[in-house]
Amino acid sequence: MTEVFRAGGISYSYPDGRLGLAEASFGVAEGESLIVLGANASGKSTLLHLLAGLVFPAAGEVQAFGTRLTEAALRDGEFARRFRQRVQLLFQDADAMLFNPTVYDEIAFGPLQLDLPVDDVRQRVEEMVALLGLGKVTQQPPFALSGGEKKKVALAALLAVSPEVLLLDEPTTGLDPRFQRWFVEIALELRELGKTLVTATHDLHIVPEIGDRVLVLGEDHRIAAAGTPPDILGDVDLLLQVNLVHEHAHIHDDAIHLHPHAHLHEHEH
Amino acid sequence: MADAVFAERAARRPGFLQSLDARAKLLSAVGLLVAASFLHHLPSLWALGLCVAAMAALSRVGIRVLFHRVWWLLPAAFVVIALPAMFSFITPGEPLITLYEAGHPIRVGPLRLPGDVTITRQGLAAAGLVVTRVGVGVLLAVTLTLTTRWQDLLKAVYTSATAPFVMILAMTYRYVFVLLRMVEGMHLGRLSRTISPGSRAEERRWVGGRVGALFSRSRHLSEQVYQAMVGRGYRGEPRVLTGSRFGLPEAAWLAACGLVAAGALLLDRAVLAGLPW
Repeated sequence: MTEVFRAGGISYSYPDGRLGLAEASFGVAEGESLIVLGANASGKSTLLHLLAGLVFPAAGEVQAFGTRLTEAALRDGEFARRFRQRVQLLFQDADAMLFNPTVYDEIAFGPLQLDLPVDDVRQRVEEMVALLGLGKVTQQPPFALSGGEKKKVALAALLAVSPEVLLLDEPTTGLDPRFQRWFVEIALELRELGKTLVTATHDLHIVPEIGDRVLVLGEDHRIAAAGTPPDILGDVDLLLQVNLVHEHAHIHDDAIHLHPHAHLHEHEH
Repeated sequence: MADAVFAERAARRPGFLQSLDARAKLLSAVGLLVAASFLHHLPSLWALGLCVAAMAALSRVGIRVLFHRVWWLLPAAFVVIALPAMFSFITPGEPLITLYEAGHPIRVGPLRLPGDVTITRQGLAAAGLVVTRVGVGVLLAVTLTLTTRWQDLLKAVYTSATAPFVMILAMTYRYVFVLLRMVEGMHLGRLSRTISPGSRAEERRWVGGRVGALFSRSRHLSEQVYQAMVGRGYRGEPRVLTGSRFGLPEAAWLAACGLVAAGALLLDRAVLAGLPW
């Protein structure tokens, strides 16, 4: 199967010297849904930013569609235009993505930057509005939207570009169960359309539903494990080690027991 | 924030001005402002102000709201611009009230101050004219902003030359709300953990610290926003959707505004010029 991304030993440090990601090597196949699991500050967002060509590794290299992703490569207008059209990133903080005066303008922004004709842009916006049920908010300013609506608009803004690859940074964090369900259904539809998904999350219950493969980042910013969702979610020691589940004390019949504790579908012990 | 939400709601109401294209409204407001600056008599300015208030009323903007937003600016305009114009050393003329009378100029070091300070009839008329002109100008601006959504107003001034400025302005307006929410969160977070009020020095330290924190967070946010723009294909030249629906109603509106401006100028020059205003 064709590889969309190939990361070879990539490391990244923030400007203040903190380590973001260490020696990560992996590939993402076309049409695959890869889940990047990890605790807070383990480097999930950094990894997605590296794949999106928004930051660049201090060591190692990222290849996208067979081309090395560097600042110099993205300075080439034609390559940058094609790459941005094919790869889109959903930011963890939807407010960072919603910088236009209205929802309509927000959805239109991406296609406009890719020099599509205005009539095509309007048609795409209308399609996204209908697909994601945003009809009532198209003329509203983003500050007037709820958290779930902001995420929906941000996703609509990405989909309007019609990308092949979607990089989703914590898409369900801080949102209500109905929106989480909605996101899972959208992700499944995108998979049926053949889109490649890379989803960074610590929300374990969406993993078996939308993931083909899982990459686990440890708190040392290195890849701790890779495997299928059943393999990863079945390895409680691994999940404990990377801080994705915790030990939970109970009192049963006057005796204290310790159990690993995670939220998978229902309350599982 | 409440003001912005109110203005947005007023601009969304179905009404006469709300139904017109933002460019037509902006053009007419600029035209009427220019006309107001050429009027030299109070009745012609009042007539123009009345026309603007009538347009606002037709557009379901409450007269109380309108005047509330206009009149609080007038004392400031009076003190800064009009007050000095009332005195004889700025506008010489027929004295109405004498405040100080020495009979000869007073020297203070290199300065030569006037010997008499009076409020003159011509000065009072000039001050009244300036304040009324400012009032009519603010009335026009408030009517425009209460009947036009901020984003439509921005699009009305969008051209290839103004694009970067318009985009910066739009984003500033957008993120002011995000930063305001951050400030509100910081304030409430502190309030919920405050048992007894601190000293003034502590309060100052806290405010200084929060200003620094807010600056740091806004810088981080601006970096993220830029990355989000680049991620969606931005290459340094912003492109936005602009749509003009300039039709017959807009043409008729501009013609009507032209007639109002011409009428006010005619009244000012041909009728009132000969009267003792």
